[in-house]
Amino acid sequence: MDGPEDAVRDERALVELARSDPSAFAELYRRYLPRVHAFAYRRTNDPEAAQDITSAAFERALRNLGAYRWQPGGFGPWLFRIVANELADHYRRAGRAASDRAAGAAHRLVAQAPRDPADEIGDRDAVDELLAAMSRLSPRYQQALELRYLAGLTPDEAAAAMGTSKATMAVVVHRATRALRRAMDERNGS
Amino acid sequence: MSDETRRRLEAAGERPVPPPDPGFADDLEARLRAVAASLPATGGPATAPAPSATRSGRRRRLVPGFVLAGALAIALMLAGGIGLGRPARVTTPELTGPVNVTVAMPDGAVLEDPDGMLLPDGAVITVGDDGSARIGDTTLLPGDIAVVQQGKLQIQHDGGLGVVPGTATPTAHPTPDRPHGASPPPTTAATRTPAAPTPTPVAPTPRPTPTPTPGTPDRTPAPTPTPVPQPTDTPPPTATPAPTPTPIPVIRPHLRARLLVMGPRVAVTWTETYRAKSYVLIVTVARSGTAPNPVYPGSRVLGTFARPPDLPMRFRVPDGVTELKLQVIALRWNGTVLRRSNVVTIEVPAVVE
Repeated sequence: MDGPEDAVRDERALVELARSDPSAFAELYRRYLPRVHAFAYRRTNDPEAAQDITSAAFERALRNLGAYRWQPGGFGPWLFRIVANELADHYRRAGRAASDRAAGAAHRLVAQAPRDPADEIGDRDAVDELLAAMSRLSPRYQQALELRYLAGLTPDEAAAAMGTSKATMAVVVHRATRALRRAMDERNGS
Repeated sequence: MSDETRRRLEAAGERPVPPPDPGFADDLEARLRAVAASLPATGGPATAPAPSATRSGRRRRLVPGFVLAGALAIALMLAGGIGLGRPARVTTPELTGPVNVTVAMPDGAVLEDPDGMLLPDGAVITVGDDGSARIGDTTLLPGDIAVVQQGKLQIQHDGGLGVVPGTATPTAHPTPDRPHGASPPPTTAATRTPAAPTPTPVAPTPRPTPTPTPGTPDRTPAPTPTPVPQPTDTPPPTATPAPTPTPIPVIRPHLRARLLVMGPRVAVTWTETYRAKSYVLIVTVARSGTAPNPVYPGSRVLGTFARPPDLPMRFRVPDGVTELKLQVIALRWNGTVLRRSNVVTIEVPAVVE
């Protein structure tokens, strides 16, 4: 049962190699692309923004790979932290609560994006509402919720990505969830 | 209370989402490889981003109807089989000052006078009557047909063999961000103007005599070493603090496009953009209903440009197209998206014969 350990060793070796070998980084890229893209998509609900964020995150990871030090959680949490930072930058540049943007993007026609499997009106509205309310939280709360729920990470990985302990992460997530609930209630006028 | 919120969060995290577009994935990988390759060597600007690299056929399903004049031109030239001059080495060949020039792209699109365009491999440049153009140090004259192959230019001169100089002129993009270093924006705007884009080819390129001698350029072309030399060093911090064009740099490219009745064709131009190192012009079309919004990467790329064209470039609307949408994407030196322009929609009325 040393499969997972082998996988960790393999990834560590790959990361080391990727510092100097573009092909090795390309391998890392291919491994993480679906998850990174899914994370960005779930957060933005916008295919174009998801692609932009995915591109920026991988490029930043590549440029900073030399400074990366292997962590027990592996390469993933570090990479997802970068993605979360890119998301924060994205919303900071947008300069507004993403509610209108998310709602518009949900119904925008895109040249090549395949149809979103969850594209029923009811689901889409609920997602839009959630994302809009999330965008109104503090950056730290947003990141905590993104990493914990939208990035597809385990609680341990999410904590590692956040740079905190698991216990601290749980507290932050709890507070963020409450804040999110309040934000949604305010939005609904209750 | 917060259980409901948590459930909604979990549901949001578990909902299925579309996978990344394969074309986007390939393009991004190519770009990352290019960045990785450049990193050890001071991470310098190197060539312009190569969005046209490794286009492994992903464009095929988009817009099948563009004119194939370019392919025909290639076939004719190769069938003629004569008079291909010695290839010249041109790094990132950029078309400058075209007059009565068409560029046939590998995918079949034909662009007219696309000033500032970065010419991909397989592009065929045809100079019409009384026309001219410059590519690096090479001046093309009426009747010339040039093909870009592996970054090199092969020219067939009308009525004779072509002798092409071997000088390589990297189309130096103004150095990248060097943020706030010495120079504020002017690098892109101010320094370009001196570049002699004026196509008057009179001086250079004496018509080559049929001496096939390679190398030794008979024609010492290009009076002016056009490309922008060392922009960062030049800008005098003291002199004229505000760059002449506009004191306020253009942050977002503004695209203008209109339908020309003759053809029909579309004329396109856009504004230069602060810190942009290249521009990608993308298009979507519809043959009925509304054209989809352009997406980058993803939508068809008409061309990549080092700068906006001085005069509007044109392209022919394929038969049957009823609506087009155009957008320009300003890219950083490393190929990442800097800014996106407005989307321009062109409705093409049906032709009644």
